[in-house]
Amino acid sequence: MQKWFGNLGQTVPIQLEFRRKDGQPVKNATVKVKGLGTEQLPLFNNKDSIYGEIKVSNIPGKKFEHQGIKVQLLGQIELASERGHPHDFLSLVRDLSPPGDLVQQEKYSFEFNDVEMQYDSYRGLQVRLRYILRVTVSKGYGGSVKDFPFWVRNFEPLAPPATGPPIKASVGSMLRLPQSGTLHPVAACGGASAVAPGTSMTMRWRVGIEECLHIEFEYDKAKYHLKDTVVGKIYFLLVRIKLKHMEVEIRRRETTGSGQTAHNENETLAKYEIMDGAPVRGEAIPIRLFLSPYDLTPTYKLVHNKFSVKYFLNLVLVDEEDRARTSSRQEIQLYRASDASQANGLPAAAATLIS
Amino acid sequence: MVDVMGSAPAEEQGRLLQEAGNAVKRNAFFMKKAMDEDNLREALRYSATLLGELRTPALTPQRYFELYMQAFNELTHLQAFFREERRKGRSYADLYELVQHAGNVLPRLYLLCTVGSCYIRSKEAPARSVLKDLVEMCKGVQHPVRGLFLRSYLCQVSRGLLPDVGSEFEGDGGSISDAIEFLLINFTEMNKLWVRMQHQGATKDRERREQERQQLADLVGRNLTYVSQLDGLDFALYQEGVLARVMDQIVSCKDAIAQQYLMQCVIQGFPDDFHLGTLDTLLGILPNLQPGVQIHVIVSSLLDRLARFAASDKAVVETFNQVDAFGKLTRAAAKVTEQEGQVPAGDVVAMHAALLGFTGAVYPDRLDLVNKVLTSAFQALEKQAPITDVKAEKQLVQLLSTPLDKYDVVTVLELANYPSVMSLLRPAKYKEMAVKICSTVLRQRTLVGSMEKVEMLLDFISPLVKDTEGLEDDEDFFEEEQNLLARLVHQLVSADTDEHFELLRAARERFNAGGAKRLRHTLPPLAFAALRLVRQIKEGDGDSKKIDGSCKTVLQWILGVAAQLAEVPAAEIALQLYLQTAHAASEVARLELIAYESLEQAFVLYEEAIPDSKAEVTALQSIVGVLHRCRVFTPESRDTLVHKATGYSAKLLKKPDQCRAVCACSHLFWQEAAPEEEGAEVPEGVQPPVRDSDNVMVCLKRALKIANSAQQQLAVALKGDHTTPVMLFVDILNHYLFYFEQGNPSITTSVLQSLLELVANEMANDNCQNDAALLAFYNSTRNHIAIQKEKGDDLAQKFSSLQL
Repeated sequence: MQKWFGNLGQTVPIQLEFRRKDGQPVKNATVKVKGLGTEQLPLFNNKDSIYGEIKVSNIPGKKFEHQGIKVQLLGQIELASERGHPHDFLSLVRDLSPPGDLVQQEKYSFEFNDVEMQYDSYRGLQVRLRYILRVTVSKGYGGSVKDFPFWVRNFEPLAPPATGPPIKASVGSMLRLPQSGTLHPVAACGGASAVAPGTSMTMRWRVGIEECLHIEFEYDKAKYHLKDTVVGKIYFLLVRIKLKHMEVEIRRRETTGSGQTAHNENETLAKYEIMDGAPVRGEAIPIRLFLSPYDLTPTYKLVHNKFSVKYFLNLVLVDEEDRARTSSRQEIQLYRASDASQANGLPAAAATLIS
Repeated sequence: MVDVMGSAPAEEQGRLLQEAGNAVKRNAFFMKKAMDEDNLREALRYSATLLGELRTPALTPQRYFELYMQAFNELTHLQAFFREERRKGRSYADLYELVQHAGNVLPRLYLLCTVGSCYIRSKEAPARSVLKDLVEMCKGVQHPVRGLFLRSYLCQVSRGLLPDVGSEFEGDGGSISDAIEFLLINFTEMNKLWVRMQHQGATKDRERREQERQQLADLVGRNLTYVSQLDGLDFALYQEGVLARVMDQIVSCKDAIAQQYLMQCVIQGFPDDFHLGTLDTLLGILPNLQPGVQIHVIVSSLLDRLARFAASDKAVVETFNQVDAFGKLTRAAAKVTEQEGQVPAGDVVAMHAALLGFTGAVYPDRLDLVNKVLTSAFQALEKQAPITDVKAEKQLVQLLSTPLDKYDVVTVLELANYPSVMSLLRPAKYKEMAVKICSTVLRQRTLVGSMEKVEMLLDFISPLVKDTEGLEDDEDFFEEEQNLLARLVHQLVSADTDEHFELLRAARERFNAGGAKRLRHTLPPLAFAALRLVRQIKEGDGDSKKIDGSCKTVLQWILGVAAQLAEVPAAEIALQLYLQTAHAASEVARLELIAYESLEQAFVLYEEAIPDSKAEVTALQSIVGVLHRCRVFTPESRDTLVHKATGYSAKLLKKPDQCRAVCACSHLFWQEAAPEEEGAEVPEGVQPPVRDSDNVMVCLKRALKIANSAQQQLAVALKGDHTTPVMLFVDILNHYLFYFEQGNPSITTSVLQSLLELVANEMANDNCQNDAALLAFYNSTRNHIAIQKEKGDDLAQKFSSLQL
């Protein structure tokens, strides 16, 4: 709308340059744009101070009269369902110039110190969260407005090895677990595995079709950073159907709204075949899924009460007739580890090898 | 129903392989292109696509192998490329992760193995860890054929990279136990996949599936081969670390094909001394194998190996004793048969045969052990007797033959359990075995010299000696079998003549049970053996303390045999036997009465039992021949006998036969002294040679007469052109010449001359000139005279007056 109004009046060229106080070049993030490949955006973290210089030029030879120049730092959440009406969860403003005439190119430095940007930038199917610097040159009903997007990523320290209680699977209507605990002793089926005995596989998740297929899916933790590797094992406790192959999918679920109006949108981001052929009872299939190749984000829980993004591991078993006999999902928590903390760790491959 | 193995029909196979092969080539081309352009990502992408062709479920294992080989060759390029990448600074750890981004599990694991091998070689990571990771990750492929080939690839690329003792990868890279661990895990997993094949797919394809499994067996076995090739594998490691686990897997897989193959693998793959040390384990496993497993084959190959081992180094035998190899093996064999209940007889037999072979090789002189083996075999088979399975029977015969070949029969006869094992055979096979024993005795020229052994031997071969219930004699072989038996009689020899005689008597006792048709064959050799015994006794070779009037007893016994033979009836043979007895009695034993009795019996037989004229002629010739040589008779008894003989001669039906017989009879009146008697006193009990020239002349004249009348008879019968009478004349001429040379006074030069002329006249006949045989006979007679003339001695003097 701003644009539309802006078009009515005179516009002036506005340029903005992000700077760092120490003179280093500003870091960029590579962000996927749907259908367009990637684009580079300046990258900031929470509590970063955002500096820069704005250049506003008049049309050469013409004096430009304005009613003030300001720059806003906006954090917006925009839902597909309410397009055009983004919700600003962050709005900071700096006045750059009082009303006056622009007779030549003017440079304005601006500075937002220690900005609270607790949410990550996000582009999803039905929701996006973005940060922009908006420069407004006011002039009556007209004026010039220009947005300069930038990208925000927040880090968490590497999670300590999870030692929490096993996560119970949520079981769909077609999937029922046997009530008996006889299938429990997983270690018995384990035999020699790549996982050293000391490493606890704390996450356990059972899937099955009654009297047909009982599977236990064990994986190492509930929380992974984005360059992490999911290491796990699938135990076949009962196999009475002929399987052809098995895949792990990574699914993302965006939830907008809440309660009755909640809306979910699912997206499969990765398909990773982990087994070829039909196993028999007692087999244990190793899983090692590198997360780095996929375009994942951290898990977001109720961002500003507007939306959530959750990730799930989805196990798909396909039988001889190419029917997906069962699929079951289990949420995993994703977080972004700071580069520094990742660097402290071993390279992923080496780490998995040694485990 | 979808076939799980899923392979397409045979006619499709070629096309599918072709297509898949083309796809491999195409992707390999792009892969190499990407390599040239140094584009790692693309190279990996194409290599994954290339390997994706191996995901096909449609090919049979054989075709799949061809495809696998194609892909395998391309992967070597990829290895080179990875090394190149490493040189450019990309770490193997990176590559190792990168290839795991591939979405499909099979290509991913092939790539992982490929990088893994480079990774180990670079020593950037310990071999142990990489191997462990690879062998675990490969579990992702659970499809039997694809999994087997993948693991076989893993096994192949990691060969030479194992942290074996002395290998450059030892130490930081791990130890020999890591190498063993790796191979054994891979082995176990492969075996599981291999066994699983059996249970997938339709029942109707079972045969084909088993065939396919056999084709894949070596992929599984290769792991064990590699274990056995580890330099650091010593006995302790083998026993503790390898064998126990392999055996565990073999038993727990519960699959006959796998068990069969893998047991063989272990036995053939690992060194002999390892086996010797782990006999308990190896043998202990046998009762736990599946029913379909041919345990005897396993035991046999183990035994064979151990036998060869023992043969290669005599010192080893000591070790065999220490571990009680024999006892263990025997017990194992017994246990197998007990546990399984009805083990096919063939298997039991084959196992014992192997055991016997082993015993022979390791303890060549321990007959007691051989007996033990037989005992065990008997006990195992007793319940199933008689063995009706043809194959088992055959093997049992084989089993029984082994000691025969290895030891001489007499030794075998000491094996108490030999006959009992033999008795397990059905009559026909039993008999076959009897024949075999006989043949062996004869072939080895074994002499059976004690009563006990003779009894035993005859027990063994009783189907030959007498009728067997429920078994028809096969006409074709009967003669042959009896011939064998007859020949066998001559092997019943003892240095002690008394004992020898006892042996013959015992044999006769047995033979009596065989009935007439056998006696015909079995009695004569007995008699002849006895005759030889008579000579031996007389010559003093043997010591005859016990037989009273030894020769007499034996001869009397022979007469009994002959009489029995006559009743069989086998008159002609009996008659010959009487004659031989007569000759022996006369010329060897100098017992006139027995000789007379023999001849008398011969005449009786001649009169009563000789069936036709031809046989009569032969018999009479034999009688005359023997009588001629007998010197023991007093003139009176001799007269009787000679008279009888000449009388019979004249009574022959055919003139030529008469003529020749009469000629022969002439010799009954003209005996020659033995050369050693020349000039010496006539020995005691012997009459001087008869020299009755008149009677000789009478006979010869009668012969001429008969020849003449034969000629007339032929003329009457309008068969004047027959040359037989002339032949007779020449014959008679020869007799004349003989006596002339002998100095018979009745044969004067003039008598001879006239006969010569007579014959010459007859010979002038055209018919005679055309008869080549006659002509030759006549000419050689003339030549004889000519030669005698030339000799220049006294005889020549006599001959000189003869005119040819």
